[in-house]
Amino acid sequence: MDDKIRSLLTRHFKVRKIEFTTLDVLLFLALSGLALMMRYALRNVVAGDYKMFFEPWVAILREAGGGIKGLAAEFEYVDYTTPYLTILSFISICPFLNTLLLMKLVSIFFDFVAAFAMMAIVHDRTKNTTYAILGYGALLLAPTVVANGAMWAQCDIIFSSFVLWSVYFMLKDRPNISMIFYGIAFAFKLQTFFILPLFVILWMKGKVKLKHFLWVPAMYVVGMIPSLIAGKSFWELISVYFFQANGAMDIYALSHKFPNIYQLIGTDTFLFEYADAGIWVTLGALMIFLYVFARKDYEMTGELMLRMGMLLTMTVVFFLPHMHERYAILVDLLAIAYFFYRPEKFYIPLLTILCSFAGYTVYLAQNQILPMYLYAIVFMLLLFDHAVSCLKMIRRGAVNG
Amino acid sequence: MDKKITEFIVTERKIGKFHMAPIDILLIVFAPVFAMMIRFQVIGYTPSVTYSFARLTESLKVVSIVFDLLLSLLVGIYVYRLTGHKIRAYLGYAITLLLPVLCAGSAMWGMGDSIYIFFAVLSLFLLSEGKGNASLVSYGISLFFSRYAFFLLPIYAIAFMQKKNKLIYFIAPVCGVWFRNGLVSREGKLSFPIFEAERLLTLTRGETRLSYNWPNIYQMIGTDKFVIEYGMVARYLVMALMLVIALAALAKGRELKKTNLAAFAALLSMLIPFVMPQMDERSGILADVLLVIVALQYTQLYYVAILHVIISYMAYSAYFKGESVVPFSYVAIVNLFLIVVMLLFVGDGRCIRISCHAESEEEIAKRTMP
Repeated sequence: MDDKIRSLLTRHFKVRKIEFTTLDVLLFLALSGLALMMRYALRNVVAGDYKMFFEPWVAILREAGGGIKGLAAEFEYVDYTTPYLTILSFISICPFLNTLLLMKLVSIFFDFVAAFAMMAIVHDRTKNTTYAILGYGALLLAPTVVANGAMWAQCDIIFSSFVLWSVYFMLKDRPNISMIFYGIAFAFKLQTFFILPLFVILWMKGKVKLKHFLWVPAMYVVGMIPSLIAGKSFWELISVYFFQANGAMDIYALSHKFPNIYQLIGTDTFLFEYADAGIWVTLGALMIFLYVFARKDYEMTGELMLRMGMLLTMTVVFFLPHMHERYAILVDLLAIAYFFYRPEKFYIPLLTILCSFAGYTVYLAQNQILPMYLYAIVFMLLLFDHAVSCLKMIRRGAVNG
Repeated sequence: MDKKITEFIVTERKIGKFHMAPIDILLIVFAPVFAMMIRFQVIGYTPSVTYSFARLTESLKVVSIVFDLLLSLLVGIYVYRLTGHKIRAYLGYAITLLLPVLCAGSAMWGMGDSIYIFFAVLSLFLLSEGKGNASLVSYGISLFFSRYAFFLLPIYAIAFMQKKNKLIYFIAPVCGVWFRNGLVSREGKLSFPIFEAERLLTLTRGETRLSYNWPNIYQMIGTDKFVIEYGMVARYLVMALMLVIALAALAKGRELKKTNLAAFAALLSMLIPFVMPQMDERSGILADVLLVIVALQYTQLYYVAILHVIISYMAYSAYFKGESVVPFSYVAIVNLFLIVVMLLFVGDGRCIRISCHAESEEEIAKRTMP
């Protein structure tokens, strides 16, 4: 009897090229179920952002007629691009459930889209279905992912999920599809640019061609179509990111609860001076990394690609002013993927997610138990550790990913 | 003359079946003496929570002290079977007996934790000796006495997949939980002092918090916000974590062996209370005892055991005093560091490799044969 159960649990199946066992299926179902239950438990949490921004925006979209028509609405302030506004506009006229739940459902759906991307990345690396499912589960259970959508009703997972698919296709050496996904991600959020330096290096290493970069503006323009149909002007739509890049709404602090360099030197002094200087410092740091990574001769492996992506994104969020609590979500996701390349470095996803989540806690619970500079120090040490090991890997030639 | 005396003290002689030196006998005799002296100093203390049944508490304290002694003996035997070193075994026995958290838990507080820990450690010992079914029965008894034995659950699931126990014996843990929850807690048919003490302790908490003096993740993010939401989310997370740990161990082909079982159990008993909500000051005591065994098995981990016992006792003190001297948010960071160390050690498979370099299981078994 016992042996029958064991053999049933370990029985192998093969669908196309993917092998899996009954235990894998059970693990997949259990993790998906638990991930959904975790999100269900958070369904009634109402964050300040929702009351202050999302609820009024959805009301304005509804007043304007909702759906495509709603996109013609005039907002006093909105920093989202057409694709997400379209989702909100359709939510505004949806007869089922309330706005908050629908917004959360959209984010939860993309949690799973991102989880499947993670599954694909891990499977590509390990060729092991169990590890791929563990990667899927790790993303779904990551506190920042759970809190971002299901608790806070934010949508950072949408662009992140497309970036993950973009990374996956880059790992599969399919730059065209990769850049399409990157373009879709860009159409949703400006923060997609945090990982752009990686694609520049990939271009230098011949992994992607200049023509592939055209997908980025192309996808942005495609994303604008619903608003153009609704009657918005082209220039108004194109300027959304310029407004965000100016940081016009965020000037009151150099860091918005994100543990970066400004938590070490002060977030409320030299607001204007450091805001501009910080951008140049970031560009300077990126320039140095780009120089080293582009100048040296080495083979670009999957592991190195992930490492660089993580390092460059970490550099951006560490030095760039006006970073919000949620802006390291790409770092968190890449760190989870990286764990499956270097399991002995499990402390990297553990600590990056912890640092990120510290910011979430300060915002959501209005609770600052540990000083933010402590998390900033941890994040900085991780950045150093990561930079050193990245450079060492390049020096070694990095032939074996 | 001096040399003769010192040689006499350390020279082993045959006493019955055993070879022992007088210094060993001195340790075996005086460790309980010192342990009892410590306990007698604090036995008069009655925590406010147990005033209402002080007499019962006194009898529970006596039972707990007896189990402290039994647990120490078991730790000594376990360490001997793991390492084959007599000195380490005697040290294991003495250190466990003198462990501050055990002294305070039994003689001062009278919570009877040493009872469930005894059965939990016995269960691990039996599993490492290849008696998986008996191990499950012991685990069931442990679960009956305390919900904290639940931390070890993934071990038995892995053991089942590795043909170390039979499915039918899982009825023991199920019965343990069922008797505890179904009969004792809800209907109160068995007025067992341990459960009464726990019931009163829960009542005196007053408000629901995410952590009651246990330095875990909630001490870092706040114990009083999103209590219901985080409470539910964290329970699901723990379930998923246990599943993932069990599956990851199976996927990596990690066989449960003598060499890694105690370390793996210690890791689980550190990791789960770090994430689990509503953990109290006594949540780390199982890990304390298991870490004594691990530290004697892998001496390079001595600092993990020492720091964890200090952390545990700080949590106890916070209960006794009503506040913690060191903010728990900082203590939680140290706790997290210890978990990372153990994860690196167990997850990396170092506990297996180190023992392979040092001595194989067969070599240890040969040496420990009577």
